[in-house]
Amino acid sequence: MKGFRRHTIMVLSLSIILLLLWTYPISSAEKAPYKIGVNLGLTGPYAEVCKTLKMAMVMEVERINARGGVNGHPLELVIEDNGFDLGRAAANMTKFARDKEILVVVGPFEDNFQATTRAIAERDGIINIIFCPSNPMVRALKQRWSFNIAQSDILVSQKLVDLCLARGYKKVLVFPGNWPLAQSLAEYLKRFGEEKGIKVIISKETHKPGDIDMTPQLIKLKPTIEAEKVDALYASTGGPAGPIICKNMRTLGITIPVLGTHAFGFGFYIKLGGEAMEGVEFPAGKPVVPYQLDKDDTVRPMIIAFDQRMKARYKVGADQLSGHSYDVIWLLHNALERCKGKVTRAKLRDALENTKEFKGCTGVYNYSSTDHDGLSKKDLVFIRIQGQRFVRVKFPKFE
Amino acid sequence: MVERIRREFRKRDLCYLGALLLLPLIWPDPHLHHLLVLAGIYAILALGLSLFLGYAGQISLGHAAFFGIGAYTTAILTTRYSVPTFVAFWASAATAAVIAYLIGRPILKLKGYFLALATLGFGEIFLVMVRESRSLTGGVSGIFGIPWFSLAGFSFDTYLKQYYLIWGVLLGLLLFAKNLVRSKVGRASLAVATSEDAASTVGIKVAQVKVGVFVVSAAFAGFAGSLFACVMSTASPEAFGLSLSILIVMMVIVGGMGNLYGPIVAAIFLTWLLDILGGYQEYSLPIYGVILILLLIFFPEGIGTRLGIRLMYLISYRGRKKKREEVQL
Repeated sequence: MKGFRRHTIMVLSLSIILLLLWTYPISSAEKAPYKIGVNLGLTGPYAEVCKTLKMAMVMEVERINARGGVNGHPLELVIEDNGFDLGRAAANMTKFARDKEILVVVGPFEDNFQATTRAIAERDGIINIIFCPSNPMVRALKQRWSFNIAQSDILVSQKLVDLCLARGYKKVLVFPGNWPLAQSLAEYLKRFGEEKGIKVIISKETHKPGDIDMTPQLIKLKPTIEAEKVDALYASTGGPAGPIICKNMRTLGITIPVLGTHAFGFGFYIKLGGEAMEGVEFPAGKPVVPYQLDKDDTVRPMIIAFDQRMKARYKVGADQLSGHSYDVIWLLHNALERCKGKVTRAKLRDALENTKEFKGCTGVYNYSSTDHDGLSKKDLVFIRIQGQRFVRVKFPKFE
Repeated sequence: MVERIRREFRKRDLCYLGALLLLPLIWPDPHLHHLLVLAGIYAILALGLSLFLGYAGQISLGHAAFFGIGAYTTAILTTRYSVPTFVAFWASAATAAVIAYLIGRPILKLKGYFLALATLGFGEIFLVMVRESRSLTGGVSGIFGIPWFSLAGFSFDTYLKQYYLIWGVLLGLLLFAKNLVRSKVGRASLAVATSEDAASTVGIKVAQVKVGVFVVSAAFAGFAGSLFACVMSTASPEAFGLSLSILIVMMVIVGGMGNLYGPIVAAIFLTWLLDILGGYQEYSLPIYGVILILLLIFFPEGIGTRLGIRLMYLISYRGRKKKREEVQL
């Protein structure tokens, strides 16, 4: 009897151990990964920008996986370079769409490729998350499977109008770049500005992203600035063109205030522009000034924590771009957690569309069937470059 | 008709044709179909440039502009004027051909580097015009929502259908190009490529031949551009820049100049290569560069030149190797 009992205990113990061994991998990261396709121009003119996006995504995915993944499923990034080529961006998209394990595709970053990848997303039924949807025609496409990250050109322009009103600017001259984001920012400023009684003059002089000297255009604009008694010049641009405009303006003796886009909120702007950047004001995302946000700001703790992780790993702080990457990964994490049963592309799309009050680096996301942008004007802050650093500026009626 | 086809295509060609017909059916992968659709479009473009570069011995670094003219013609006609895509397809080639004629008359008097610079300048002028003519071309934003190619109510709305459409067009244009290079014009262009002075002394109207080949080459690019716009459903300036012109020149050189199959082989190879290299992320460009350098070193005459002989050599090498192994045993 004693032997029988001992035998039973041993069998039961072995069964429990075997059961635990069998169930352990399922409850941890041994489950099939949730794959995320990433379609970025890691070579080509936007390579540096796209590398920042990639770095932050990799870091956050590793962090999630170290915590046991999403309901035990690790996340896996499948990254493809599109080389800033429309054909390759489309080919990557079809490659991801074909692989049924890939639930969602992030990117491309480039404006004009987005219409094609969105069309593929709609046709093949795969989620496409777009980083900077600035092309008004692309934005106008009401689509089921596409979601946007980052503030839209509409929000940025509305916030800039607030900045003009706060500063009392009545006349603004816009010097736009010749790419979709720069153009649409200029047009929206004119539209929203004129609704509030601000005269907005869009210059016919434009510039390209690679222009290294804007003096010829600014010489042509100088008589307009003087004749029209313009209150401020809005440099509707991004990349190195911003600091170059500021430097050239100061060299030509144009002293009117400069307004910038949210793309001015990167450290290299101050490094490139130096003294010429002093006094430039612009609306931007909260990651530009993480430590100057209000103590009760709901997104402050996560931006600060993210900034510290970025510094620890890559020796660079968080910025708006890496903030977008954070938002993509954690929005997906949040939506995946809410999916019940086996996660499919359709379930994930529905979960993503039902995202409410999700706190990301860029702001608080609220997606719905009619709004795939998610953010609001409240998610932007006013910034001034002062003493070679970004300083948050507050205006009582506007923020 | 059958006899004519038999004359045009040898047994080897028919094998290639059979393989192309069966490939998407044997391998029903939409991504592969999409890649072959892109490769087919690039092949049409490269085939046209091959006539100008390989047969007439002239250089063009502005062929992306003709490709863009084709794409924008289709985009404008279909989205603004609801013209059927089939009509827009022909209009695209005609527009590219007319513009090529108009600019070809003055610039083809230039030679060598000067011609390269003039065509490069044309490419840049095209981009500026597209960006600035906002009411017509949508400016920097481009035109979206271009419909699928359709013919008599049949819409080419899947990659498989697009594959057969594009490779069908390519086959037709290849047939035309084969006839052209064997014709009086083709022989004259070869003579012009060898020596313009010598060609003119035997009564060849050099300027006329050069313009003629340039126009045909641009029409090919127009066809390709029209198909590209329908496949991508968009036409925007970024897609028609200098990098595309260089890619197409590279396809002609890597494929083999003075050879009509070479650019097609190179278009397939480079499209596939770029797709494979995408996974190497930021290293894709250096690897691509090294592969191109190696190809140019080891295959200076092009990978598509003597393709049949190369294949035969590979097969026989494997056979010989097997035999050697058997003997050693």
